[in-house]
Amino acid sequence: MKIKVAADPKSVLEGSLEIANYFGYLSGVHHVQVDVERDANLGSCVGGILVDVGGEKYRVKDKKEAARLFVQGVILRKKVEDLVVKKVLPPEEARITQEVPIVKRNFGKYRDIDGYISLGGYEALKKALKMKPEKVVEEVKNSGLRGRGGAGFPTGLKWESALKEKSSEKFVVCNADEGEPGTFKDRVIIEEDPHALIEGMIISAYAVGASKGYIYIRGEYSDVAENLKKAISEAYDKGFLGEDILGSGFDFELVLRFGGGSYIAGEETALLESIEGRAARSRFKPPYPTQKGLFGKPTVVNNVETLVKVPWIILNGAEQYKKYGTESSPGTKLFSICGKANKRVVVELPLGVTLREIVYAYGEGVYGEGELAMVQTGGKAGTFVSKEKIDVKLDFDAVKEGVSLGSGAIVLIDDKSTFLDIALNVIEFFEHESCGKCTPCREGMFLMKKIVSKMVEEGKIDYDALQEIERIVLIMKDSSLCGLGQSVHNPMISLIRMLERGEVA
Amino acid sequence: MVEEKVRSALEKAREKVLEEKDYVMEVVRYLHEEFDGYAPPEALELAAHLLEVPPSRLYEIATFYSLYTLKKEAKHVISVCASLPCHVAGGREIIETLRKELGIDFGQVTPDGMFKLEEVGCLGRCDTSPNMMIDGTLYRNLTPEKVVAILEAYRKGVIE
Amino acid sequence: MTINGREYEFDKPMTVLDTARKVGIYIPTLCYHPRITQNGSCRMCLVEIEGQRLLQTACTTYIRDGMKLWTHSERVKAAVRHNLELLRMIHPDDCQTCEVNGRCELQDLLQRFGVERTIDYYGNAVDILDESSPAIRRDLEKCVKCFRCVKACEEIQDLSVYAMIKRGHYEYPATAFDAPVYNTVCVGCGQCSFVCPVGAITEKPDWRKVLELLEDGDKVVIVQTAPATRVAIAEEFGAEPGTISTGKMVAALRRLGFDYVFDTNFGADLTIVEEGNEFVERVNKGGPFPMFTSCCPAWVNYAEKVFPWVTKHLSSARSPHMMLGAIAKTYFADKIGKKPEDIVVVSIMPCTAKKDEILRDQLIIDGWQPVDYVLTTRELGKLIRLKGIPFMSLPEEDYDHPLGVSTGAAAIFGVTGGVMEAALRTAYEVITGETLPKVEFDEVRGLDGVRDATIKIGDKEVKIAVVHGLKNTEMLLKKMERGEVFYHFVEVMACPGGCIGGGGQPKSLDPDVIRKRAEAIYEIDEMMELRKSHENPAIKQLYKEFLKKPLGELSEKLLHTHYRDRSKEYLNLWKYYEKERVS
Repeated sequence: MKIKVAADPKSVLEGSLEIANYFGYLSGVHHVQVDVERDANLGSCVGGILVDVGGEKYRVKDKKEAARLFVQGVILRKKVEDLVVKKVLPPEEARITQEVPIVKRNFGKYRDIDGYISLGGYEALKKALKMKPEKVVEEVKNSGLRGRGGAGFPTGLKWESALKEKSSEKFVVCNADEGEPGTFKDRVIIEEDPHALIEGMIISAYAVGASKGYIYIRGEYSDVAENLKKAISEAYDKGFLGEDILGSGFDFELVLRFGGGSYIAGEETALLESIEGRAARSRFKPPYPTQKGLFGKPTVVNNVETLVKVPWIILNGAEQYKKYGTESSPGTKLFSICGKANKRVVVELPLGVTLREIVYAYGEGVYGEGELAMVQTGGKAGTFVSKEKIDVKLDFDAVKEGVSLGSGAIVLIDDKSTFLDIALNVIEFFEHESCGKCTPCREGMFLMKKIVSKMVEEGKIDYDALQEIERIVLIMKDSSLCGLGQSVHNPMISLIRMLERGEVA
Repeated sequence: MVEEKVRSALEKAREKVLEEKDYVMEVVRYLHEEFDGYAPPEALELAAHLLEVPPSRLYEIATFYSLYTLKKEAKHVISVCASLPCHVAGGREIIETLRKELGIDFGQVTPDGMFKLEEVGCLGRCDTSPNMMIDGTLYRNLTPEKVVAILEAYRKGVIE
Repeated sequence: MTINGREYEFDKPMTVLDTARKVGIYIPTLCYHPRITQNGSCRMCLVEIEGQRLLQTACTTYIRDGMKLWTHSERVKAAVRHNLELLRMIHPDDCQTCEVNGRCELQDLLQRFGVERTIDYYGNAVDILDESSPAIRRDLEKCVKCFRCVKACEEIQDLSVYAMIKRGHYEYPATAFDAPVYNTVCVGCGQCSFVCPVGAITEKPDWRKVLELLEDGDKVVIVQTAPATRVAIAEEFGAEPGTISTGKMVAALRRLGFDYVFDTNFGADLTIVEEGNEFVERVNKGGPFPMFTSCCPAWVNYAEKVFPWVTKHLSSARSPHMMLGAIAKTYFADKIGKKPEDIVVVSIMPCTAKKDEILRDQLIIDGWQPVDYVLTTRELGKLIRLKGIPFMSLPEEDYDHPLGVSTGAAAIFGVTGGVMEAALRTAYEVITGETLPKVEFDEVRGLDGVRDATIKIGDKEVKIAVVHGLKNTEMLLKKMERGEVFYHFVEVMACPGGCIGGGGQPKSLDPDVIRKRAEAIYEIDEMMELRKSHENPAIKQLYKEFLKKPLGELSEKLLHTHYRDRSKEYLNLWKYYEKERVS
């Protein structure tokens, strides 16, 4: 039997692909062989998704209706009178932002350094080495590239301040300690295009005057790191790393270092502590790493995604990069779609894309019985966004509307999750990952875990206690030493607001 | 025996060094490799002396980072992802299954010393959640049935 | 710039904290301590700065032109109060019997901000009580995780006995593998106890035993006071650092019930005569050089544990209070018709390592300990307070004779460079037979970590060095090992500034406390009529009546010692991992 589901852009943005996936799910549950087709020309309808079952056109509003249609229409082969659509409209256009492969430019296209070179790899390095370091920094500055690790600091400015520092030795460090739950884009980059990362690092080192570089990769990625190790040794063999790179007189040594399982090691100063052979506990800032970083020397720390964009920008120019994205947030961003999503993938989209597009066009809605309840954006320290806010544009300004862009994590959560379930999950994570250096985070996390655990044990929500939690996280934000304590209010308060609005039980 | 392994770990960690003490973390990592999943205190102390860092420093590292441990408590360590992307995508049920099957909670060891159950923050494989890791081997796209089968394979020694 | 709405002008870069303190504005602190670098972690010194999204820490923020800040806005106070509530959440309520009651920075903060127990007491994640060391006691249930001890041991001594292990709420400053601290490389200097803001690390308290001895005992109880105590004890009663209160201290000790109040300075003069002659002997014999001073027990521990080759170079002279103890139980005992066993000697020291020193096997003479108890300056302060003695209004009294007579040379033992200077004063005159043209040796004074000089004594050029802090010492010793430097005589003090900055001294957050105490020490020296140890008449008499001559047979027995290589003794700490602790 064949089911056709409307797949015109408008229907897609309203969740038709979620319904199509759901039919697939139902066929598995009921052990019924069906052929689900996504049909962009099927047409559309008002107030639901247009579905064709055996030539009969139906409108389904939600999964409950879809399930009924499946049982009655597909399994029992009856006409489901009340779901029959009254008026079929033509397919409707709507804007769905298309992927722009800047980071993903080489994904799946090469296996070794020769393959990379044949795709134009290391051309950007050659070009950069002919430029003055100041020029390279200027190009990156002009591109408006902002850090892709979560904080969004302008990369060019960071490089510029490191370039200005007078020091016999400087470092560049790649932050590949991708520990933000729901984020796996950097892992995919390292799997798919390790040489672009290495090339980006060499260029950044040349730009700021660093002769040594570290890639700090989380210990959980040790299998993935093999690919990177191989790429580094290839780059050494070809003379892209080491002494007098491509006859330019520029030397650069690059080495890989592993994390030991610590979320906070992804914070740049904690990461430096870890490379120095200590517990990953954040340092106070200022001084910033660009002034006094690794082993006390000026250091630039950049995220994997940020660095991979650099060769593209050098080759294609800042202006070309700025064509994508918004004014405040130029370029593309990798989003890791996961959680209850039907499609859990990394997509590269220009900033300014709406959450709706990501959730319904790329993530294809939530899997299984549940309905989408909320999305956590930006990582564990990011915000919970309710379904009502799904049309928000994702860029670095979205935070003003209470939506974090962060690391680009997009975690779909269905209505099977309760407030207490999510709250406990969030706070247990942070209680476990607080490094313990500063008082408000160290003891505040512990206290919140106690408070939430008590509610979970008693099985009921204590609204006075929630007020206490708000107070704790707001003071934690105001008085913590690093970004961890300063951002836990994002998930906690956005979740509490959803509870108050009845958007989560 | 211990000394041999410590020296071997040190040698591996020193493979490429850019700054005098930039490989301390690597030493602890390789100790876990040498000793099959943990860094015994004796090895850490010896490594500290050879590295010329205070032994307290290696104790700090070995107790701070969650991938490191000073004890071999069970034959196999199961690290199950408890983070939200896994949690909402069936991770809840995976954890329930593990608890029930093993009869233990997080941080505990089965009476036969076969398994230790640990929760971890995020394994970075959210595209295939729920995930768990046993002794460094990843198991992805888990279902309760798969978990039962995997445990059985370990119990029977099909997987070492 | 503007602080709390008032304009100020400053011409040099300073932290907000230093600036505020300079103009008399109170900003609370807990992890900040002038003796170590900032940690920025307690989040007590928060200030609100115009244009900054979040509160900033005053200890790490530098002032800028046009900066506008508020030190106690409602926002600041709410944050500080909450952070204090969180500390109270893990801190036990046993202040009344706590060693640092009334001297506790947390207690002061809680009182200042009126922080009640609004959050349930959840207990500390750690409850280790480590009484292994005769020098310090660790009661980690009281730890507030300020990192001061960790940083002090690393930055001042480069020993890193402690590391902050585990993470989050569960972290605590542990020794390697949680070994008893006495079994680690710890030298007992007590800098950790000096910087600890609460009662988590204190000196090993011995004051109660002394109190019992004074109230119930039937023995002759002799007390002696170290050079550095007299310029610091008054701080325990609110006085400015560097207040000289020798006479009041003597008066207080009498009121506490000590039978005789002697001065360790007498022992210091004796040390100089013995050690000076030892040096002269080495000069005449041509070595072995360098000779190292041996009066600092933390340094001796360090040499034995970390640089065992040094033990062959250490002066064999016992430290001043050990010399005095030995003389008190022999020469003086005889004068009052007592035996060594009838006498108890208590030393008041700026030092925690002295508590460890008195137990050394090599110092026991015919089965008796020359010194029975060591109390720190802080413990003496506590005894005086607990006995209700009005310290600041006491009359000035003098030490008892004869072991209370001393010179300026002994007085300066309390400051880095002092032992060297005192030794030079004597050595010069012994070697040349001439009177020193100028008593002060300015080359060895000051507070630089390492100071060296070449001193002309007659036709000989003597290369000397003075170092304080074991981190500085380590660097100097490594230079010696590499042959980069050579000295004839080296003075080492483990604590910053020497004994005046000792681990048993009154706690202080005054960044100038060492300088102020040092100045007072030099003032005492200047006030003395006699300023060279060998001129001390009581010493002369002692040699005449009892010892006969320096380095003589009796001297060797009572006043000299030997050292051991203990470099293997702090190994195998791993054996203590997860062992049940026996305290």
